[in-house]
Amino acid sequence: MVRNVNTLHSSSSSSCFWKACILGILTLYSLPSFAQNDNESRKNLMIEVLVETIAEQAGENDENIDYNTLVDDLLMYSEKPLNLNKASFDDLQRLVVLDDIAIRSLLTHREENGKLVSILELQGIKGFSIPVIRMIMPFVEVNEDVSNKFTFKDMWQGGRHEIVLRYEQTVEQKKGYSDIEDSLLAASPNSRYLGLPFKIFSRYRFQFSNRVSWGLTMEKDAGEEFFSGNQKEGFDFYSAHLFLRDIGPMKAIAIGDFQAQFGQGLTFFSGLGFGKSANGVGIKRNAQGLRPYTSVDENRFLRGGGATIGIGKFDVTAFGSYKLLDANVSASSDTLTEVEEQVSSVFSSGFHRTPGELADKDAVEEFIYGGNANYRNKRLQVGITAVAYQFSSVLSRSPDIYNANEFRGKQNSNFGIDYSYLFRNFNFYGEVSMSQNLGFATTQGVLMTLDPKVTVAAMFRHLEANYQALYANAVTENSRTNNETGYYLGVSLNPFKGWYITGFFDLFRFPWLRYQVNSPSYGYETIGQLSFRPTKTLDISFRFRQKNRQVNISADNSTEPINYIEDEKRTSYRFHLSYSLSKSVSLRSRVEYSRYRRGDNEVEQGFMIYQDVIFKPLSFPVSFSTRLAYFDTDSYNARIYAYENDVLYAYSFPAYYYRGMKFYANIRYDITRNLSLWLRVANLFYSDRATIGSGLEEIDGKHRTDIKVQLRFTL
Amino acid sequence: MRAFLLTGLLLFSYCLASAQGSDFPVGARSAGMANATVCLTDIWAVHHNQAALVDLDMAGASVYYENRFLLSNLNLQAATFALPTNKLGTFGISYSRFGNSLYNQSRYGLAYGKKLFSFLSVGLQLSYLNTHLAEGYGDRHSFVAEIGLLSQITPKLRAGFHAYNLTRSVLAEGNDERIPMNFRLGLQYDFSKKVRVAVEVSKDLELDPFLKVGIEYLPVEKFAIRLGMGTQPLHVDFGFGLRLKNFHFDIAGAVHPVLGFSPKASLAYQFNVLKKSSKKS
Repeated sequence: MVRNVNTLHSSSSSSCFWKACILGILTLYSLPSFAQNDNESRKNLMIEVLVETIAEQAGENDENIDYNTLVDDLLMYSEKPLNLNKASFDDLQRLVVLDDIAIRSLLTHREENGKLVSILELQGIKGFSIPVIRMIMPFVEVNEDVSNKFTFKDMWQGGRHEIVLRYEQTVEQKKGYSDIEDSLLAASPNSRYLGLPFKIFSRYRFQFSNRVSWGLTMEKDAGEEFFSGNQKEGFDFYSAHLFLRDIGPMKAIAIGDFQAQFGQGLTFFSGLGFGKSANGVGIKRNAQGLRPYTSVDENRFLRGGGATIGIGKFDVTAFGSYKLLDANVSASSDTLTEVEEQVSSVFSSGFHRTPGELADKDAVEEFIYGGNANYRNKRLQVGITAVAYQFSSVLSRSPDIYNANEFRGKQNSNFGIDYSYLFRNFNFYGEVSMSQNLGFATTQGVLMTLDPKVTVAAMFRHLEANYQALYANAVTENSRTNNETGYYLGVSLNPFKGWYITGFFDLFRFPWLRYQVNSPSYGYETIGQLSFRPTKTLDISFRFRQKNRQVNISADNSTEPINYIEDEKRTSYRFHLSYSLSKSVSLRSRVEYSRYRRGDNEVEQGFMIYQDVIFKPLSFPVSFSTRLAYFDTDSYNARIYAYENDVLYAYSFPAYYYRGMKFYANIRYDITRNLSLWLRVANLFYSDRATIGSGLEEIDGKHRTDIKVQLRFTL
Repeated sequence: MRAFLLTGLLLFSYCLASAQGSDFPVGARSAGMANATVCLTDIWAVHHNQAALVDLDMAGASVYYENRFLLSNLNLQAATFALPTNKLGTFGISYSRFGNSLYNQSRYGLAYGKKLFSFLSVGLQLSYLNTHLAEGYGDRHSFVAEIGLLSQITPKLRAGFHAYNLTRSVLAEGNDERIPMNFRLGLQYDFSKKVRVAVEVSKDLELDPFLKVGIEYLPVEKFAIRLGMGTQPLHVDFGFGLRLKNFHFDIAGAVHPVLGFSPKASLAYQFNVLKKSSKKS
């Protein structure tokens, strides 16, 4: 059916009727199950690509990120496709891959020409190239019915209940679970985990299209206690949410756990967002205001309530959140209690496995309240955001020159104005923000569709060293949203049919010191990718990536009195091949070579090769995907990341390093229409060392086997 | 279309930005595209690649000024003239000067480009280089030869090659101080009349190779927007061009993360002396 997308040309709207007839006849000839299977695999592929895209930027610092927030909408649309005839601007933005110009052309086309009759009409609309249409096909439909009525009866009948239960465990024993003499344990109580080595994730959720969602999530990490000891209530982490959309004048109502995102992320943006990637031009953030929270990141979300009301072209949002954060609290010599934040990145671990981790649990109260007013018409969108934070203890990091500009105190606030302006084939956007200490940050960018085959993105950002925004998350090199001036240029080209050249070049400068960087520094990052996709069964790509930052010279090698800075350069070359052998079997292969060099030290190299087999039969209820990977890197520095298939709602993006082999098999069995079972077995083998991991995660041996079992029941 | 290609006739095409000078890229149109212009036909081709001169339709002259990193001691000025003929190829004259009164390099060159076959052109330039050091150190006189090739692979795709200082001319006998020798190899693809993308790899014999990418976009026929980036030195470029009657006005700016901003501007004029028989190739 997709082949017809290439051969049919859309003509003027007056021939719509004939077009519809022809399309209708042709549709009869496509195998429904193949189309469904095709959609299923394309949906999975797109979600994989999106997760891999953001994981490459964010996940390299934290393997525990839950990408569900990112793909939540897409997963929902794949179950209940978005009706293109009824979709609003916000609905279309949730499809992730459409840029503002394309969304605006579709809405204008609908206004001028009436409802769409078929998805293939998209070909004639500006901004919808064949690759884009293929990408959104699993998530959209064209339906005559455009009524927006909402009745409880519709909700109970059309909605879907879902219960997911997942059990995970590492078969080999980690040091944190091994036996120890009581006296030794008493002397250092943090040398063993308190709980048993399995992880349990359970979730109940009810969803009715994207209008009603409620659910309860319960999770316990490996090592945490379960219905005993310090966790008498059972699980370590509970989360509940109720979220309604488009009920009367209320555009959104959130009660319980939720996320809030505004502008380009300089002022307030909770949750994950896309940024620099091999795609080159996807750097404009499309903030979605209030969103339901269903992930298991135990710290980056809001807990309380919020609402968005729509008045004509204005949307006004207000929200408040109160929750407890994990933090290291220490008493100081004067009357104020000083709090040191745990040294962690933006997403903190949420682990409470040892007495030390438990002592830090829920140590600080965080109270956030804020609002946003947003105006949108056909060309222009303008928003104003204001947020205030209050903490029960003073946040203060141990004083050092590099963190002289970081936030210290009990109370802070941010204010920002963001805009997006469409002018012909240009989309200008930006944000300007301020923090309470009069620190300033701005980002200004433009997306240009120069030609159906050429898209260019350019962005400039300037964040002062003293800009302090605790929940900011913008497209920056620095993981903290401050101390950066950057210039970004990205392109996406389609010079010949089937050939794509995408990538970006980002030049950045840090005007102030940073952690382990004793002076102002600068660097760059670039990705260039050449892909060849002649048919939908074959995809070959070659990617070059290089990142150069500056860090202090390593203290061990240096006899210098002052630690000056040196370059740290990471380069990787990747070749990737995906091929569908038949309707049910496809193969994926990858070869990647990496180089790491710090200053004048020796180059550390790494190499990885993997082969995947994916089997998705049409009428057989069992499907699986399996991989065998060999890797050999000189060190952890030369590590290579690769996305791995995982059970539904779980994501794996591990690093391969040292010398060894990885195998996994991911099997899915659809027992009935409502009940599915997953089993995933992964085995990691190191040939050049006798232990795996470090600290309490250490395994004495050369193997590590991880097992996941998941059950999903839907009604 | 051809006339449009003439935008920014700049003869000052110093060869690639080399550490020692004499090879500075010139032309604000080229500067806006990170100087990834070994395939670009305009008056600057007298410097960038003499083989690209063959596609010039009209004679023209232009001037260029660059203020590197906003330092007056690092001024670069250039002027160019190009004259295409019907059967004898295209001739060009170039002049450029870099530096201040204490140190400067002036270059006077004669360029020539000729189409050998419909898909291949060749060009060369011979320049006299005068390096002046004040306070009694005197002048050094040298001759530099360059050669370039341009091939039109498809109507939209071109590949170009250029080598500077073929003869490995020496600046000073003492330390075997040679004028920089470098090679450039590039591709240019015209997606449409409005969009052009160029990529180029440069290698100076003594330095690491580096990559440049430039994009030129014409939202309307008389106005151009340019963006580019280069790896060594690390910089990001942008530029604008305006065409009014026979005048072409271009400005560009380059940003280096540590050294700062460099503004560049050029003005070109096309004379309506057309080639008598325009044989399209």
